[in-house]
Amino acid sequence: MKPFIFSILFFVVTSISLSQTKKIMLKKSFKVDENTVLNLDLDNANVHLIESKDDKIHFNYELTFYNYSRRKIDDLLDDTSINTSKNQNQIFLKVKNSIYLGIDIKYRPNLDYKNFKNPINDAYKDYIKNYFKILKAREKKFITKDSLLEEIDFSIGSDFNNNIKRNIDNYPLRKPVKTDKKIEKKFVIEIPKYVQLRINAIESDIKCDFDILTEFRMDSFKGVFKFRRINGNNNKITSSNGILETYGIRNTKIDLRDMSKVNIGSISSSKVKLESSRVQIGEIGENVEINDFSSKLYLYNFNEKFTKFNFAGDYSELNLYKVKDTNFSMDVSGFNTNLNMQGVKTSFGVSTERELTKILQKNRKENSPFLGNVEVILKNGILNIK
Amino acid sequence: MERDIRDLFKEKKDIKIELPKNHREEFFQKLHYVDKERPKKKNVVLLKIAAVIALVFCGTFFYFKDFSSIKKTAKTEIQVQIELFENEYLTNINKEWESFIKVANDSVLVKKYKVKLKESVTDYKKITNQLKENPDNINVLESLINNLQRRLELIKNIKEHINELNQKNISYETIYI
Repeated sequence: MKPFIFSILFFVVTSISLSQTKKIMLKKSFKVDENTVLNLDLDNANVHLIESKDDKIHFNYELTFYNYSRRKIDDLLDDTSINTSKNQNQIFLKVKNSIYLGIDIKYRPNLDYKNFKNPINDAYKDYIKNYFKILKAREKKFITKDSLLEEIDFSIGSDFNNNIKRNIDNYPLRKPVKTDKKIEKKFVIEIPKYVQLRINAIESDIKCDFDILTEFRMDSFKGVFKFRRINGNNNKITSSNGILETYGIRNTKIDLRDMSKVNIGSISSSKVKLESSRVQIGEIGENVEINDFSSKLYLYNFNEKFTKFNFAGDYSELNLYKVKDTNFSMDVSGFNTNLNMQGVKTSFGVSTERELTKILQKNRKENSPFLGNVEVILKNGILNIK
Repeated sequence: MERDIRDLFKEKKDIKIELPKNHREEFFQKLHYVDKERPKKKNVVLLKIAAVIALVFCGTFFYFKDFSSIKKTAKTEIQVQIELFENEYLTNINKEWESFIKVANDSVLVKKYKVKLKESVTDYKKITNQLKENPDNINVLESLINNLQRRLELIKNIKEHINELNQKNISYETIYI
């Protein structure tokens, strides 16, 4: 009788016991060559792409649960499905995680649910309360290409998380968090640089630590995407409701909608379509064209040989810096558009005909190297020249 | 191979034990005593079975119920705080929307933003349902706050944009720099 009772007690205790549990979700390798295409289909996944040192793609996915009961872990993993396959020279990875699994604990202190007065929660409370003050302060900052690159380098995604990462030491954990439940995710994919990447992502985060030199395609909804450089040919990125950060991008057709943050160190030979997004570009290179509806754009510098830059926007706010000091020519036309320059606000083209009128013209300087021409068409727009 | 065991005693002649004279009475007394003891033993076994059943029930309760159902009954402090933030944001979103409609005279623009808000509200409903299922999940809480902040920011931005356009200091001449 005794062993039977003990086994029941053991069953009850282990099912509610709290500890650290590591789960290997995927460990697989595929041999590849220069014609291989890697297709990533991600749903609620947090993936880190690094360069492979051999001619293989390595998938390594492991989860560590802290203070989760075995049953809760099983519940979370019930909603997880991972499939890999190879068809001719295409490799497919399909991952679907539980929505409750999308937690990256690095730099993110857990909330103390039982004691909201615990100082650790102030990190959250302060940010939520001061959100719009933080936004306003950000608007006033002038950024160079290098400082934008530093910002991208530091960034772990949303301004909220970056704020916590920056100020984590100001919010010491004075009392231990009782409900200290955490999930640490490590999903590393090692890819040889010559492999082509196709990404389809929903509410997933991707961080890529190497320069992409092959044709790149990405389609995404929500999520945080951070790439070093996207330098291949015929690239295409279509994203909405997320965050995109990259040191540099070229030869790309970009379509972004409702993005809360887009930080691009430098851009060249690209066509960009934007809608209701906040975009910062450190440096505009050769042949860039932007079409926009109701976004806020901050274009900090122009490259030495940008040749031409075209911008057309409706309800756009365009911020240009160092316009007087830089030797490029510029033509701005539009209607129902405000120009803010040297503290003076002026409205142009306010007519019912909605015809384009010439708002501003900047001619090239004779005695210094000429960089290129900027052509701006703004309808119902705001142009801030700083 | 069947055999009468009485034959065994016949074979082993060295076993000669004399039985006491009152052995019959003693035997019946012992038998009676054992009969009295039996019902007591039965009760202990029943109790043990009941304890085991109770333990199994408790175990099953914890195993299948988990702790989430207990939490659902009372709101945690964070839930109360989040509700406050949520209500504050929703009130502000409504206020901003009303002021945006008042200042915007472009029906196409208003329609576009209506669609955007509708998409955001659909997402918000999805997140709220997730939060009901899992009220203490930091990921869902962040999604909820992000949704509200983004929605408010979106309307606030376009409203401020329209307000700035409406401040007219009209010029008809091209500026040269």
